[in-house]
This record gives sequence, structure tokens and C-alpha cells, in this order.
Amino acid sequence: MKILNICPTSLRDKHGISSWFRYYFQGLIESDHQHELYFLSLTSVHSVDHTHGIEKEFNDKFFHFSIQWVWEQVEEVLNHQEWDVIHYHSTITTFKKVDFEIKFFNKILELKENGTKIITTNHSLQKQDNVYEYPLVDLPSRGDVFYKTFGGYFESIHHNDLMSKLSDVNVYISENDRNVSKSLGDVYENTKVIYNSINIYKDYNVKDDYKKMNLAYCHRWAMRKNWMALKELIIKNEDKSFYLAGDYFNPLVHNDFMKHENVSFHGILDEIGMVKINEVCDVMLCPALYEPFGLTAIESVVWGTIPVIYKHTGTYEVLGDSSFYFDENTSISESVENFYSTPNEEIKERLKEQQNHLSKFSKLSKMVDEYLSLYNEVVQ
Amino acid sequence: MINFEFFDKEKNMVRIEIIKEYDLVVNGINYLFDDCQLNIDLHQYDYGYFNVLLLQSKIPNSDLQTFHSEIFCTWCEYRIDNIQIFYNLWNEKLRGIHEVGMPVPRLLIAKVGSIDCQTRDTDSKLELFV
Repeated sequence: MKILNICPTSLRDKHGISSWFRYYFQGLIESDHQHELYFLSLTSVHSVDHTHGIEKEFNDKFFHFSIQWVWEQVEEVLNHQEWDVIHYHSTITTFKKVDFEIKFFNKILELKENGTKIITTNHSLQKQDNVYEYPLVDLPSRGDVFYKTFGGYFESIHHNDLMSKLSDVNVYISENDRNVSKSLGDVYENTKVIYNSINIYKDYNVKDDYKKMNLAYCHRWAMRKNWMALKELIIKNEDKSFYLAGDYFNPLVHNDFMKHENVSFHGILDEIGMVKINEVCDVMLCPALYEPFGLTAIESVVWGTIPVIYKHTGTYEVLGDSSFYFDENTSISESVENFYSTPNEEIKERLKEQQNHLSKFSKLSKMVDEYLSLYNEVVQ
Repeated sequence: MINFEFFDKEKNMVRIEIIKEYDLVVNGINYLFDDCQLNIDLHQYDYGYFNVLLLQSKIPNSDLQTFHSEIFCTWCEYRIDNIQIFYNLWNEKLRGIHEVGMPVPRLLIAKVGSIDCQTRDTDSKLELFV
């Protein structure tokens, strides 16, 4: 049986929690001797730019495509041979542009018609009504202009039609949609040694003072979609410094933010850069509305920086109820205000709770076993 | 800071020399880049511009006070006078071209200069976008 596993990877570095997907791949390969496993990882700039080890390490063991989010290349892989099973992670349908999603869904529908079994993770966002409509939280104005700017992305009727068909496509849904996320505790155990070896962190970190500076980490579409919310935050907190980091380049947002003196833009940061930015900041804003895993937020918790996250994401599930979050009822600004009005000791307690929550996750091996039993069930 | 030197009679080959004369500091961040020389063959370009730009380095910056940058030169129908044109150029032409070495758009820091392919006019005005 030929199984294609399509993963949105976040291989910022070979060493780090971000590399957890490597363990996942490795676990599947080492445990599965019945199926022919293929992997398609849609890579970010980091892995492409620096050719991190995954291809070299794994090429001998399994067939691995590593390409970018270019539809033609994805299509080539999907047409590469007749797949018995295609397993795609929900992130693939939420990260990128609508046209990519439409083409992807159409292809999935076509493959399903031709007998390919489809597995997808059951993302909690898909359970909600109006999930593909941007929740207009935190906007200073809800006039037509803003609505078109922010909501337009999700208003494509064609797109919604396709989404409704997806309920038919999701024929096999894994028991727990956070199986993948829950491997993180195990990976942390493995990566801690590496952190030790480069003398960055020996353990979870908690800072002495959480009243110094601020950080907005905005990546990809998150920045555009939360544009006005972040702008409001910047204006309200002129005494704080905002460090904007991330790999998405949007001239409109960039130009607008850079008008403010308390904002600096740092673009893509490497592992060391992330450590440094975590050292100087006490809040890590993770404004992504679709975040099944939330590696940035999880890393910031490890490093002792409080993340502010969107409630309806996997990150919230991973970090637990002690998180500072924004949602339809609580704006990003309110969440940050809430953070600054919280006593230092309570912040530390909440951070420790998050860290405990993170460390309690089940093992990678369990996640791998669950996926393998799912594969067996599907192919029978 | 930037010298254009045409070094054949038909003026088809041009050498662009970029020398960093002073620190480029904006909002307390020092934008670092190396001096460099770029050789460009204008022979096959009848129109458009060669734009010399300063981008975020392929190797990400690792310090909050310094920002590692590199010189980048690309042909474009338009003279890149603002970040939006660069963004459009990226969306239209540069994505996925491995030779360009830009799998995702990197932060455009400054326009260093440009050459008009038609008139061979050069422009060496440093224009910051950050």
C-alpha cells in the first residue's frame, strides 16, 4: 500500500523543538514495515535556504519530497503515482492562499473519486460555524473598508462550496486532533540535550521581571489579518518596544508599522535570534488565527516569555487554560492590557502551569502508534 | 557609495561597485552588508531597469541591534522606487526561481541604485525603505 503523508513542516532548525516533525517521520518509518510510506513536506524558507539535514538524512530510507507551497509542484507529487492513501494535515488547508486551497481540495476530491482513501486530522477550527470567516475582533472600526480588507479573504463563495464538500472527504478522522501536537513533550526531552550542549537553556525558564518590553511576532498572513488590531496595540503602548519578526513580507503592513518609532522589523530570525528576542521581551504575540501546533508560542513558553495566542487554535490546547489569549470577545489589546495588569508573581505561576501542561504530553511513540493503527484500519 | 563603470565600447557590460562608506543605522538597528562588485551584461536587455537593492541576508540576522543584509540586483520593467513594486515583482516573477535564491521574499531594506537599459542612465541614490 502506498501512503502519502503530506505535512506542513516548520523546520526552522535542525536542532530545536521546531524539528519535532523529524521525530514523527522517523517514528513512522521505524515502526511501519507493512506499508510503503512517502512524505511530502511543504517547507518554509528556513529548510530550503539552509538545506537542513532532513533530506540528506532520510533520503536513503524513504521517498521524500521537499518542496515549497507552489501548486504545480504539489500537483506533480499527487500525480506521481497511484496513491492508496493520502494523509494530509489540516494546516495545509489553512496556511496558504485561497487559490492554493481550492486547487488542493479539487485534487483531493478527484483522487477520492478515483478510489484513494483520504485521512485528515480533525482540526478543531473545522468544527465551528463560520470558521472561515475572519472574526472581526479588535478592530477600531468595523466599516465597510475594514470588513472588505479583512473579511474578503474568506468570503469566496467558491471556496465555501468546496469547504462544504470537505465534510464528505474527511472519511477518516483521527481520534484526537492533537495527536501530533502532543508529541511535543517527548521531543522536548530529546532536544533539551541539544540546548544544553550549546549552553542556551538548561531547563524551562522563568524571568524575574515581566514589565520591560513587548514583542509582536507576526508571521505570514497573521500580520495582515491582525493589522489594525496590532496597530491599535502599538499606538496604545508607545512606551513599549515592538520587535516584529517573521518571514512574511507585506509592504503595506510593513510600511504602516514602520511609521511608529517604537517598532523595529527584524524579518526572519534564526534560532539564536529567537533566543535573543525572547530574552529582551516579556510578551510574545502569536496572532495567527490558524495554528494547529504553535511552535513559536511553545518555544517562547520554554524560554520564559509569555505568549498571547488566539483561543481557537491548537496552541491553546497545548498550553492550557492559564494562557493569555484573545478571541471573539477579548481583543489582542485587552489581552495585553490584562497581562500588564497581572502581578508578576501570578504571571510566573501561570507560565509554570503552561510549562507543566506542555511537559505532560503523551509520548511520540503513542502518536506514531495511533497513526499506524489508523493506516491499517484504512487500508483493510 | 556606488560606482557604475561601463567597460566596453558598446557599453553592454557594466560593473557596479558598491562600497559601504558609513554605517546604515535606522531606528537603532545597524544594517550590515559587505562591499561588492556586480558585473551585468546589458546586451540582451532593450528596456526596463536593473535595480540594485539591499535585502535581508539569506543567513538570518541573529542580533537585535544588527541586521545582516546583502546586495541584490535584478532586472525589472520598472525602476523600483518603492517597496510595493518590489513586492509585485516578487509575486509575478521571482517566486520559485531557484537561481534567484529567494524562496520567499526577503525584507527589502533599501534601493541602492538602478540602470536604465534603454538610455544606460544610472541612478545611485540610496533610498531606504525601512
